Amino acid sequence: MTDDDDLETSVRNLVLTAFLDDQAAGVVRTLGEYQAMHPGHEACIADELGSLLAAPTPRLVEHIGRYEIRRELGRGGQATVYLAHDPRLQRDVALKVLPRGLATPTEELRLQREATSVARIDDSGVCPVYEVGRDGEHLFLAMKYVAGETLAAQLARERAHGAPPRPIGSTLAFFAALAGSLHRAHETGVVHRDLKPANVMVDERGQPVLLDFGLAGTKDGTGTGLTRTGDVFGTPHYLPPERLRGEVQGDVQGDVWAIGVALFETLTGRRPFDAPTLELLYRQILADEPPSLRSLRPDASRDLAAVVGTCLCKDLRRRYRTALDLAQDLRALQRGEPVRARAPSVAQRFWQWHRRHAVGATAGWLLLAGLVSTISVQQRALAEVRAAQAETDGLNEFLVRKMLLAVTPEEARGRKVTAEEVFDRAMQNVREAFAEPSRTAGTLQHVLGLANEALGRRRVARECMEQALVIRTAVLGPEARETLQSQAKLAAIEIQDDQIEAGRQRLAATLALQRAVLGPHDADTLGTINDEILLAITVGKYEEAVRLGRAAVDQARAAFGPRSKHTLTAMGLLARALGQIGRRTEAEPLLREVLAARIEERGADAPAVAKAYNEVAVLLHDLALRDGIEAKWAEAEPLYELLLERTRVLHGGKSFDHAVALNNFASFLQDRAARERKPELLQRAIALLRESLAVREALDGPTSTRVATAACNLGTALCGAGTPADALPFLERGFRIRDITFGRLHPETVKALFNLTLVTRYAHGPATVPELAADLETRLAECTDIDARTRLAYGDGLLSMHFRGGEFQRIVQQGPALYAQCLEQWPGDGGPTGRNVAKVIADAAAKVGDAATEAQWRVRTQPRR
Amino acid sequence: MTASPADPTSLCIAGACAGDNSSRDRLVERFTPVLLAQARYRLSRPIRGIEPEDLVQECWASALPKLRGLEPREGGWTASLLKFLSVILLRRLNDQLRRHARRRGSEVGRGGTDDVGDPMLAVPAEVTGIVSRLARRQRECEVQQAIEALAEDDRRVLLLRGIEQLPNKEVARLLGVDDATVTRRYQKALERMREALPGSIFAELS
Repeated sequence: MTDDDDLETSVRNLVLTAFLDDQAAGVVRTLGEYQAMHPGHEACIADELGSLLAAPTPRLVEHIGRYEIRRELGRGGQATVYLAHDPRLQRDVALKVLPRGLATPTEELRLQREATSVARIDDSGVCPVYEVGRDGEHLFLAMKYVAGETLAAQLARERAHGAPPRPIGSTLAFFAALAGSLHRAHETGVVHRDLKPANVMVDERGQPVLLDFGLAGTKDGTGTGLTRTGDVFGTPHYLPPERLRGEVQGDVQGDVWAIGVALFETLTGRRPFDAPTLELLYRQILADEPPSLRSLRPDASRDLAAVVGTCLCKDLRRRYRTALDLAQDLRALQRGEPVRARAPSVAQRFWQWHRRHAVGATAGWLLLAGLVSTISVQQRALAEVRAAQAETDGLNEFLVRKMLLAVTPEEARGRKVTAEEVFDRAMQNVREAFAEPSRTAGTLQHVLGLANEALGRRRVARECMEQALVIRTAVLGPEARETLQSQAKLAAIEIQDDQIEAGRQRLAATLALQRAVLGPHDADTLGTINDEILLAITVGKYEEAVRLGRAAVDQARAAFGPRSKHTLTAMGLLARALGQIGRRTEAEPLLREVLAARIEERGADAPAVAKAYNEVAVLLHDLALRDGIEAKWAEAEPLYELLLERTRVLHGGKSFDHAVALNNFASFLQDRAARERKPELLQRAIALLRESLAVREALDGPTSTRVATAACNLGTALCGAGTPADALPFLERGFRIRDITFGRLHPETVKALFNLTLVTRYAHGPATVPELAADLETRLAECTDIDARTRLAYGDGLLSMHFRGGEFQRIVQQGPALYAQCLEQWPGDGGPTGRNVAKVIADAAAKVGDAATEAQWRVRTQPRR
Repeated sequence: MTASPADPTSLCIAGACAGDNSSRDRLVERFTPVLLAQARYRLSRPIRGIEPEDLVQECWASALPKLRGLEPREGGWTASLLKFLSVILLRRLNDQLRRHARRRGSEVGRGGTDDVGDPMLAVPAEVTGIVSRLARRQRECEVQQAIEALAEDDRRVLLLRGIEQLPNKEVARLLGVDDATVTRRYQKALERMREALPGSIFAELS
């Protein structure tokens, strides 16, 4: 393949497209004219066009079948429509003609279906089809000629001329008629599936006539086999969300949605969902609520807004079930009568708002669910009914005015309102409104604690939960269920926040009280037992965790059944503990069962499912890496990918779960890269770790210990990728944060310093780090929390560093003491660390020309059997 | 074939040749948007039965098994692969256009050519959901939009010189302008593309 060949290919393309453009425009040129377009390529152009120009140029036919073609009415993606005359019946018809290339048997079948579909509908609002036929290569469909223009053409003209908005009354009448005709089509079992203003003719009387059932399917779903699997037919702006998701085929509610879009467009002059790219448009249709009709059309009534909103409801249960329901509401509006459609409730608006702001969805639901369940609990006590009712009313008012409307959907539109902002305002309102201790104040603090925890704001969560505990203890007493709930949750938050001892004591006290007051099989008691297992895992008491876990699973199964929340949580914890002590094959079926149950129970998109995916993925990774089960590599990867996508979507890419997912997947890719020697995997891992660091920074602030860990991980990976200079800033940052937060002698600080020293030498040479190396040696000598074997590994590392720094004599002097310590740990040959120390000493002795010492140490570099 | 760690394309090619699916997927993902842009530009107007997406798909099916024989060009691996892919795509498109021009209707749009299929069929079923697909199409759209945002003359030069890797002189002849104009327009267009699409293959073209 030469550049000349490629140039020729390019020229051929230019000539071919020019020829086809001319053909379409009816322009006829000579070969010489085409050759003149690209001087120097005459021969190639002659070759290309020679045969094509010799062939008869297609020209417009004058007759198709018995129809005389008069003029072209319009041209679409699939067909051209002509005004034609039927001499036999002496009437004008609209003749839809497929291009010859498309007159395939499949298309013929499709046209036949259109005709058959429409023939079943007896309604003046649906354009009747007279005949489907074939004339040679031309496939055609003759239908009634409707004089007039399409609704799309009218709307476009109005927009272009800046015409005033259409009167509401006549628009309602027009769409009521349209919906009525559509309903009759649906009644005969035909759905349109491509309803849009371009398919609605406005006849000379101003009445709608539905065209083009070319995509029509039948309601039972047959007749859709002509579309390729997964194809999304129709015009994107009018597609309902369920069609985009590929969920529903041939449903009448999709046509109702399309009418809603057209009605909105006709009333306001703009489409409810419109975006510069198809992808953004799809996202809008799938996730956004349409703009408020009344903000664009202030003279529209609330009822009309509710009707349009009901057409454009993403939830099929709340959309009009039939076009008839819509037609009836539109007629009711015309008459000024009440409509069936209702404006969304505050709760619906809140939910819609949350759907757009996925970050706060979990927290929002916790908030709402917590309040609602509290209200019902409170109402249980008959003696408190009146008080509870009054409190509920007050709470509802509060909920609406001070919390849910703290940030209104209108306010949220057009700018990013975070869940944090909502909760900050809500908390401020709670504190002002419930300054006095009361049951409600306690509940609100508890729920705010849960919500903040879900948002990953543990410090604020702990403050709220402490407040809740104080208030509930004062108002309800220390042994009340609700008080114990706050106490248990506070303990769990403390444990997660590394305040292990405080959390452990609080947890033990809570559990003792719950067992005594509520009984051992109570749901709250079981929940706290699960927290206890988690604590055992956190502090490394895995055997105890397994024992507790088995008991908890049995207890929860007996009390609540095999798929209950408590059973699944206990199973997950038991699996985690089993995994920690290497019994991973026992853990796998448990985790898979939890995952399956979570998906079944909450749907594939729930946050709990993302957590379950994470657990399974990490276990599969361990089974592959540590237990050497090859097949698990391939099983783990798609799970990690899926998990990452889920956490990115669920939490807007800013959550602990997402950071954990990024980190775990990166670790997996690093292991694979090392195993398969694929640098590109390492590059992807580095990209994930960079994202993880950014997420941690956003969540925890720039100086948290988690940021330090993320920075160290990234630094280590960059070093592993052969770019130590890039790694240094991250390693240094990790070390500095740990030095300040953990203290100078904490094992993690020492480890970070060790890595930093090692990599600095690697990047810039041995002479660059004498201070770092000296500091490291001092700390290693002073630190008492490092176990003996880790300390020896550091010693070995330092020795190697000295070797690279040319300090051979020092090695010969100091090395033997280190080797002696290795022999204590690994009697016989000093283990791998000891053998490496021996090798470094032997190499150093060789460098200083001490052959006897070299020989003495060289023999110790081999493992002793 | 030597892989320079600085060039992501070479890493992906090396991975794809070694049978690594994720490398191959990344390669396809990186280059598909520009191929689509090329196909749409070269078609000049939509022609029923010739879908740019199908052309690109067929182009990959034909190209992937032959990657091993690829050699770097002056501009590196990215330029080399672009040249390779765009010529395959253009030849396939020309075949389709000829058929269309001859009005052999029944042949149009059926695909079904000799080597279509195998490598792309081996691509694992998508485990990702609609959001991933949308995101991928979004990326394609971004490239398309960035190219469309260029002035017509600059766009032509970018396609012919940058994506199809035709020599400067030939681009100048095809467009009827002088060499210096082509160079100037190409640099301007590249700069715009790099600004609009940081980290894309345009960063690797010279």
